[in-house]
Amino acid sequence: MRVIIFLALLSILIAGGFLVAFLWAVRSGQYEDDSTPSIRILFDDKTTISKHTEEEGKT
Amino acid sequence: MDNTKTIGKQTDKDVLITADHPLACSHCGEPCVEELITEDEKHFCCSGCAMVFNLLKANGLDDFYDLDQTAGRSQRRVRLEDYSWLEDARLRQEFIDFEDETYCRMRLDLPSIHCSACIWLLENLNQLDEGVKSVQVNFAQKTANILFVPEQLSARNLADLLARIGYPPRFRKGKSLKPTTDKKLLYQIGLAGFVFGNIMLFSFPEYLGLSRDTNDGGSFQVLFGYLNLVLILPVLLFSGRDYLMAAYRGIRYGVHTVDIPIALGILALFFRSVYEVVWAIGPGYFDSLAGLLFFLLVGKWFQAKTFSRLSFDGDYRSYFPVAARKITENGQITPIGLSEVRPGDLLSVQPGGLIPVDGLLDSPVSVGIDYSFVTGESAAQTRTNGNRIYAGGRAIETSFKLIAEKKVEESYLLQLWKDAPGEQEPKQNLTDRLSKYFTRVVLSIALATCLYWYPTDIGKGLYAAGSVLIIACPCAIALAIPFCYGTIIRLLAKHGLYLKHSGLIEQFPKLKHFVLDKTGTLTHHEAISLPLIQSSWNKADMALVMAICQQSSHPKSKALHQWFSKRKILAATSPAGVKEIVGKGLEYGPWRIGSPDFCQIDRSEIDAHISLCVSYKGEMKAIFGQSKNQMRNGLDHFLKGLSQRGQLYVLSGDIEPTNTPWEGIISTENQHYECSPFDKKKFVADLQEKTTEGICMLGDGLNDTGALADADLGIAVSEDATTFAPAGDAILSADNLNQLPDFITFVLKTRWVLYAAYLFALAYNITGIIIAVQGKLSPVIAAILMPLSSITTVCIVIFGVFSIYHISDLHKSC
Repeated sequence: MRVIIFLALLSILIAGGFLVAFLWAVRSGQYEDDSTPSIRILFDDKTTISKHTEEEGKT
Repeated sequence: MDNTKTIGKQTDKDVLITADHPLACSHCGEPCVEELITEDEKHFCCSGCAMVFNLLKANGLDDFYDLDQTAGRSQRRVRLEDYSWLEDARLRQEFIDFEDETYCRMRLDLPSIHCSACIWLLENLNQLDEGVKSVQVNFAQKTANILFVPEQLSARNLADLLARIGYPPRFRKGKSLKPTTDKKLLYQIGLAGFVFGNIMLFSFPEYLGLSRDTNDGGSFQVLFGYLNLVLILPVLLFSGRDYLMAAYRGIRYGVHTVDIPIALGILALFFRSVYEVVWAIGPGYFDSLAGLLFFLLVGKWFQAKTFSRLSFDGDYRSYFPVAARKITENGQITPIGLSEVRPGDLLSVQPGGLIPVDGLLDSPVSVGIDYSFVTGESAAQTRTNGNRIYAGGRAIETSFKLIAEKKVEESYLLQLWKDAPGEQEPKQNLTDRLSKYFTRVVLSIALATCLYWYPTDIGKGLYAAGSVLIIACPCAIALAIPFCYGTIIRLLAKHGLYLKHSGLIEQFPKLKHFVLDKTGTLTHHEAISLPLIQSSWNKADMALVMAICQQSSHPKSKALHQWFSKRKILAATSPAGVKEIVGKGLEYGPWRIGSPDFCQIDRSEIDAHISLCVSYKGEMKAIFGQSKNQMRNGLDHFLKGLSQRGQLYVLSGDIEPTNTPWEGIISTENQHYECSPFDKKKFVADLQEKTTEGICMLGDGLNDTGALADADLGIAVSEDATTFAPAGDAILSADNLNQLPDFITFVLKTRWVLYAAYLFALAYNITGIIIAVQGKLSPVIAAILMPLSSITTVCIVIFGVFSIYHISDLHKSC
C-alpha cells in the first residue's frame, strides 16, 4: 500500500503539468479573443489564386 | 468662388430603370430600389457595391459571398473619410503598435465587420495587396491586427484599401484597442480549481472513513493532511489574497464590505485545519476552503462581464477626427493634429466634415451647418462670412475656410465636460449593506456558543465557535448577487441594453423620473417624414427628380429622396449638370427644387407651411408641407409604460413641435424646448436637488452629455452601438428603445429570485449553525454542506432569472 504515496505524488505532478499549460495559455493571450477562433476554424485553406481555380470544382 | 456648384456623376456602366420588382444587389443583398447597375447578369444597388464586387472577383476572392448571406455591406451611404493625415509620421505614431525597418503593425478599428465572411476576407487581405503580411481579426471587438511592409504599402494606402473594400478604419484618439482580459483573475481561478480538485481527491479516504481503519490508516491521514496543507498555501496566498487584503483595508478604514465575512470564513477554515493537521487530530477542512475560494472567484468572473466593443466613456475625442486640414501660406493643405491647432490658423472644412475648433467663418458665400449632434437643433443653421462657428458642427453642402480662435480643448461646447462632476463615490450597494448584518450576527453566535460551553468544556466551546465561523457562509451575498446580476446583464445585452457595470441594476427599482431628449432619441436621426400637399407629376418626373436629389447632401434633398424610396421609386440615370444654389435649392435645366420663391410657385392659396417645392418651367409639380423627424417605433408603448412608473419630461433643442405622441401623456410644464446643452444639464441637476427618487435620462448626442452624467441612470441611445455614443452608464440600441419599460419590469421581478436565494441561504446557515454549536461539525459534513449550498444557490439564481425572463414579455420579442 506504500505505493499509493508514490502514485499520489506522481498524479500531483501530472496535474501540475496541466495547470502550468493552462497558465501559459492564459499568459500568451489565447483567452483574449474567444469568439473569432470558432469562426476561423471553418474556413478552407486557399493559398494562391491558381490553386483556387483548380479547386473550383470542390465544395 | 462661385456660389453655385456643378455636380455631375458620370457612370459608364449600363443603367436601367425597371418597374416594380426590385432585384437584389449581388454584393450586399439589399433590394436595388434607388439605383440599378447591371453588368454580366449581376445587379448592384450602387457603384460602390459594383466596385467591391469587381475588386474581389479580380483577385479570386469571390468565395466571400459563399460564406455568409449578408457578406457584403451596402456601400450606398458610406461617407468617404480622409486618410491623408496618415502620411505624417507624427500623427500616425499613436496608432502603431510596433515598427521596425521592414515591418509595421497596426491594430485598426473596423466597425463594418459584421459576419464571418468579413473575417475571411480581411484575413486573406494579402491576396489583394502583397504589402500585407498577416491579418488577425478580433470579431467581438471588430478590430484587425495588421502586419504590413510600409515600403510596399504605406499606412495611408492600407487605410484607403480597407475603405475601398467596405471596411473603412476608424481612427479616434485616446481609445486603446488592446483587448482587456483580466488575466490575473483567470490565473487565480485556474489555480483554485486545480487545488480544489486535487485536495478533494486526496480527501477521499477521509470521506469513505478509510483513514482510520487499516494499520496504515493513521499515517495516510497524516500524509494526505500535510499534502493538502502544502497545496492550499499557494491558493490562499494568491487566489485568496484579494479577499484578505480587501477585508484588512475595510477594517482599517471603517468601511464594511462583503470581503470581511468572507475573510473571516477563510481564516477560520485555514487555521482550524492547520491546527488539526499539525496536532494530528484530524484531516482539516482544506477541501472546503479550496472549494469556497473557487466558487467565489468564478462568481467574481461571471459578474465582471464587460462589453469590450462598446465605449461608455465617449467624450469629444471619440467624436472628432484625428487631424484637421490646415491651409499653409502658399495655399497647400496639410494635415495637422487636432490638439496642435492654434488661434489664427486657417483651416479647411469639407462638405460633410466636422468643424474642429471654434472660430470665425471665412467664406464668400453663406454656408449651412448642422449642429444637431452638439446642440440638438435639427434644423440646419445658415452662417455668413465673419460669423462665429463652433466645434462639433458639421458642414452640409459647401466647403469653407475657418480662422481658428481657440484650441480644441477650449471649445465652447466642451465646457460641458469640464463642469461635469467627477467620479462620485461609489454608493454602498446592497451586498455591502447585507454583509454588515451578517458579520455581526455570526460573530455574536460564535461568542454566545463559546460562552455557553465555557462552564462545562472550554475545548468544546472553542471547537464549536470555530465551527460556527467555518460553516456560516455569506453565499447568498457573495454568490447569489453576482450570478443574478451577471445573468441579468447578459440577458439585457441580448436585447440591446448594455450596462456599464452590474451595480447599476440596483438603480432600476428607484427610477421614478424619466427625462427624455427629443431629437435622435424619441425621433429618428435620419428618417424624416415629408407630407405631400399637392402634386401633378408622373412616374418619369419622379424618377428624374429623385436622381437630382441624390446628388445633394442637404437634409431637404435627403428627405425628398427618402420620400421616393419609401414609395419604391427607382431613380433615373444620374444627370450631369445639376446645380446646387446655397440657401435656395437645386436646379437642373427647367427643373427647380427648393423654396416656393425659388420655384416661382404661388403660395397664396395654400394655408399650411410649405417646406419644399418642385417645379418645371415655373409650373408646380409638387408641394410638400413641414418636414418632421419620424418618431421611433413603439413610442406609444414606451411612453405609456414609463408613465406608469413615474414622471416623464421632454427636453429638446428644437422649437416646440405640433402633434406629438406625448401630448396627452406628458404635461406641458414638463416639456421644455429650445434647450441648450447647458439648460439640459441644469434641468437634471435641479431635479436631483428636488427629489431623492431616481432619475433616468435618455439622450443620444453630445448635447446630452452633461445631463446624462447628472442622472442616476444615464442611458445613451445609439442607432449603431459600435459608433459614437455619449458618455453614460448604459447604452441602449435605438431599435430597442420601446422595450425600456419591459426591461425595468423584468429587472424588478428578478428581486424575487434574490429573495428565494436569501431564504435558501438562511435555511442552509441555520442548519449548519445548529450542527456547529453542538460541536458536531466534522470535515466530512462541512465538505458536503458547503459546496452543495454554493452550487444550489447558483442554480436557484440562474434558473430563477431565466424563468422570469421566459415568462416575461422580453422573451417573446427575441
